[in-house]
Amino acid sequence: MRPLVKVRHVTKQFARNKAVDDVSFEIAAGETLGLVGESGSGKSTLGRVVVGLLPATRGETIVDGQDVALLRGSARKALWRHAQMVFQDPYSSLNPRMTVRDALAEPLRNFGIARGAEADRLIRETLDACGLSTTAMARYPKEFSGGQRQRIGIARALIVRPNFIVADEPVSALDVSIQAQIINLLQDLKTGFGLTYLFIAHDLAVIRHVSNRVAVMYRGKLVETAPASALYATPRHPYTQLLLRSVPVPDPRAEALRRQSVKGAEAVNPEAGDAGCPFAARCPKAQFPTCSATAPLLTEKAANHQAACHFA
Amino acid sequence: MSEPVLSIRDLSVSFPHATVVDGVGFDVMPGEIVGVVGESGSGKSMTARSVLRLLPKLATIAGSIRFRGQEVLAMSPREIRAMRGALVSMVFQDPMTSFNPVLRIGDQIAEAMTLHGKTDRKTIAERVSSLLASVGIANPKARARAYPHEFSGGMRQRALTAMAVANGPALLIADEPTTALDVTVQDQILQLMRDLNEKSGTAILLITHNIAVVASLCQRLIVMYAGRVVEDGPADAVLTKPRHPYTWALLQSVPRLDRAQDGPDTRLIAIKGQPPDPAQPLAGCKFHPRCPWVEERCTIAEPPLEGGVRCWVRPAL
Repeated sequence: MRPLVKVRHVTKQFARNKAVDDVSFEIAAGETLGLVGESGSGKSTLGRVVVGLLPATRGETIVDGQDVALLRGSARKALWRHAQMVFQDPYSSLNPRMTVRDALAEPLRNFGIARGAEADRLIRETLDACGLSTTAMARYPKEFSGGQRQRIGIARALIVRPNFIVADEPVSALDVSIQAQIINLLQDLKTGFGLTYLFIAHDLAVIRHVSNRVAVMYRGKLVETAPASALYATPRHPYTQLLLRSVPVPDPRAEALRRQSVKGAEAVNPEAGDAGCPFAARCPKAQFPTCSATAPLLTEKAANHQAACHFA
Repeated sequence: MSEPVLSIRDLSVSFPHATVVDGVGFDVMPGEIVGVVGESGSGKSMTARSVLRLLPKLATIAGSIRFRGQEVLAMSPREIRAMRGALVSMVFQDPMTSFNPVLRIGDQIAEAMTLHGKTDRKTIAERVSSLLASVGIANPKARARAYPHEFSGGMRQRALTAMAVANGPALLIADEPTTALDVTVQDQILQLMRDLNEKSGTAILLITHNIAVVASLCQRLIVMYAGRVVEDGPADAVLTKPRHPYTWALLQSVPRLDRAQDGPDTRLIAIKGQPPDPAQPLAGCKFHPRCPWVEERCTIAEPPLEGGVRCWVRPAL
């Protein structure tokens, strides 16, 4: 399949801290790539770089054939017509003083897509696709519950009819019973509007549920990428293995088995230094000096399955 | 059978325009780990806070909370303070706001002990380092001199747990103790609580929205919805054979790693609508507007909690 998004050797540095460190991947058109990692892994920063909200320090991001970093002014605006973002917190990503109609009309006006009656028609159509009633148009964000506000946030991204959406933790601020509604909505929109997603989350079960392919991030680096089914069935990188074993499951018997398997999945290796593999200090499979000497590159370990580990 | 450590009966917590906890009752036995699961607005945190009388000023509280047979709601402020931190202690979700940022971690744990009568500085210092060591903090003597910001989130939550058990409480209340933490750290904190319970017999009341966390730790499970207990039973039974439609729906609506067939081609069974607004009283069962099995009687009268389930229909789930 044609790659819609190509990320090549992207590094994003804040002062001395490399939040994203030489990351490369592709997302095929119509695919959902799940990006999973713990807090501070750099997954949100990477998402913002991909959509062009943050400039990369090095490397290039190509969305729909265009290099995001090279775009200026109207060309960048044109990109944002195709690449949109959905944020974690619908409370802070919507202007509290704008009605839903204004919030949705603004991008239509900015991109010169529609005004007046035509804009209203598009707004109604988009609200409907997002499961909101058209009576929402005259209301303000504070009048909505968290789940409905996230629907408004999604409608605002969808209104310009993008083909690529970066969704950064879109359900983690929501109640459990509402999360499923929003996940289902994002899945329906993907089919209905032919969308491609970069879906960022820390919840491994949510990532498995939505993703065709998954990339695991640890301290700024991708440590493993694979089709979702392969990554969850046969994780190659010791960090992915640790993550998967750390998730409690709601079935008491499965949970008891999991607790057995997690023992020894994490180690303390004082011989690991700043050089070498970022996971060496916690890795139960680390061998020294190999793992503290050179950082392993992301390499193919099985068909379409890559891991950055000397011993995977 | 032994006396319960905690016995709650007919507990109600009301604010001027809304009742957020409505007729809640359950027991916690010595050494038992009881989980209370619910979404925001279910009243689970207000129930937990009532036990230590840590409610906002505007809240009025009614009913009975007995700790080792003593009525908490009749205690004087002095008796409450003597109980807090010594007999019953609490761990909150956010370990950053639970510590004073300008005091050393060790001094804050020491203060928790001095407040309850321990005075010998040397014994206290030793106890502080052994507590920090017991929650898995390496080099505890030096780390006791660190300030909260020098600890990672997981370390702060460990230190907070160390502080909470400093006086060997009979009951530990943990309100979303792992919600702000990464999954690998969450697993360590759950293990820590399990160890505490096994080694010192501390009973734990765990408040969470995460039903998997409950499976990992609890023997009993109480499900709350809109201020009510809707299901109460052994954790095993509630999780594998839920009897209330809400519990069933909650279990269905989360993607799970223990189910082999799950992926972008499958759909989650979502619960339609949203929880009721506590300011707008709702006739009948509080879950009826969202329940797939709703019948007319569900909209008229609220079912009682009978045999651990609050449901008129009791569908085969």
